[in-house]
Amino acid sequence: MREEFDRLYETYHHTLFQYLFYMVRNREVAEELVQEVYIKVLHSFQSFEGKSSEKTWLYSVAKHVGIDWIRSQSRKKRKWEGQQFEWSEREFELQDHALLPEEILVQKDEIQHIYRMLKRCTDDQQQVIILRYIQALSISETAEVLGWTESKVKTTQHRAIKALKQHLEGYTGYDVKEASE
Amino acid sequence: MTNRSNWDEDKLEEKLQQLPPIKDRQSKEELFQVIQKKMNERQIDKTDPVVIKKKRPWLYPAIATAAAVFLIMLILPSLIDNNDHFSRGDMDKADMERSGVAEDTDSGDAGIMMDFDDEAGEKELGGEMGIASAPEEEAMESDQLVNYVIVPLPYAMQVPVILDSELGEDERVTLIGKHLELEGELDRESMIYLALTSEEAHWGTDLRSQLQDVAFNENENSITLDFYGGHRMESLSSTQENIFSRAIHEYFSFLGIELVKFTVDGDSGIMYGQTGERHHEWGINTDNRGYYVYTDETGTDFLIRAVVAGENMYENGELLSLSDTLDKMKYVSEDGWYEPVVPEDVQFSNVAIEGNHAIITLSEDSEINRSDFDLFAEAVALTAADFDIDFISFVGRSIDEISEFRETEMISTTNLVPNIR
Repeated sequence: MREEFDRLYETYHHTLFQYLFYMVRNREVAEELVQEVYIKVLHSFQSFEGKSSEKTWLYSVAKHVGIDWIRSQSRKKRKWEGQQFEWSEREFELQDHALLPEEILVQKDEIQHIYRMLKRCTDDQQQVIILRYIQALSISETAEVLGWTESKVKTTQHRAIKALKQHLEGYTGYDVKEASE
Repeated sequence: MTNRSNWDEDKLEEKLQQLPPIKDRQSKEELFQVIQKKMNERQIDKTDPVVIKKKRPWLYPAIATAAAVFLIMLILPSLIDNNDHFSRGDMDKADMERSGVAEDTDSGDAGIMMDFDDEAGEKELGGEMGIASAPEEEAMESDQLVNYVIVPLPYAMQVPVILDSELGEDERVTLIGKHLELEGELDRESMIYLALTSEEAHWGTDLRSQLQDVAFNENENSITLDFYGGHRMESLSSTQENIFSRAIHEYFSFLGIELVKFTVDGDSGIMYGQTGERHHEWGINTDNRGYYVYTDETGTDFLIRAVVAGENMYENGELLSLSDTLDKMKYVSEDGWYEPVVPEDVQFSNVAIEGNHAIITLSEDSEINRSDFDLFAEAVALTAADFDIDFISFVGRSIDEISEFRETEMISTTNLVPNIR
């Protein structure tokens, strides 16, 4: 197991961690989730049939782990507010109080704004932006991770950029509650 | 803060690429230690009962008893078989008399589906049946209800979602219904496909990128779920496996589908879960008699089917009659995680079935208030629907007052779905 872990760590760890971080927008949570990803991957490594690439398989495991966590937070929030079953509620709103990591804080305002507005995109749009621009995955790799057609990736990417642009243009700076670490 | 009003898309794409890498503060060694520790803890959790048993003084007598029971089972198979076949035959016959659905069912298979513990039935359906029935057996021992499945009405769609965030190994599913506005009618296969791949759905795993097609076979009353070659069903955690299995069983059981087949790019079988086993098909027990109520932490009531509750709704191998079912719905075991939906002070003095209409008479001294009546009536109507009854009426002096405020006669049971949200 150690050998397998070493190899996976050296090859993919930083990108996987980054992917999880941008998905959940919280360093501590990302640290926990990346552990879960390794546990799942090491558990099921032998049954990996190699039909997709190892890289996209790892990303898809990470995606599921991240989405499961986001959903669990969404349920906790609904419970807390006594508002269960509000189906239209966007799960990512839960991250409003997430802390801004140091790496983002030291960036120019523009980058910070982009990071903040990214969470206003739909979950699909965020996935595409993270995978395509931050993780620099190709269209086909992104399609494989998300289980979409390449055409859907392209369309969603186009819409995501437009949506993010609109959010940035409408940004007034008063409604973001994130604090610094 | 600046208010940018002219973001250029090309520039935005460039800037996105400049979002900084975020580094994991855990060192490689720390990370490995944590992972190893967690994996070991989970392994220990699985083996704990065995360790504890080894320390107990009654271990050897227990083994001796188990061996004796095993020997008895070896000695008496023929007697058990004879009785079993006889009762199943009777059961089929009785069921066919009561249910129009059963008339379309092969008598042998119908018998197989009627008993969770029917080992012979499991063998007849192949090795997969044992795998399919295991979660249901576990379900009977569990005391949590943490997720549920949404079930459709016409022009509605069913999707499963998690009810509680405290996920564990013993999660249960129940059914809730959700109306959706759809553009035009969809056929059954499309509705099921939509439910399985809905963004709102939670089947334990996200099926959107994995499920290729759904095909209904009317002759064998089966559904084939065809997955893409790149599916990731083999990397499910045990919790995900558990939710998926229970959600699938409960969902298709409610739809009355008796067999769920799995294919990958059209080829039979799917690698599913961490055990490395290839699953070809799961037999679904479509029998249900009765409903109970589970109340979650927020006080929300959920009707749950007797199958989910693990209640035994059989007598001498036959499914209970409507009258007996309603009586049984008044009681649950002391350690039950659910409650009866029939109020304690309600007595049924008569249950008459006239064609597709059930007339339920409550005794004069029965007491039920309006708020209890709503859930009670819904549960009775759902129960009656399983007997192919289209309308129910409640009569009796104790219901007079409620009749002024609530519909108590000719309540339709058609397309009724529990727990509409």
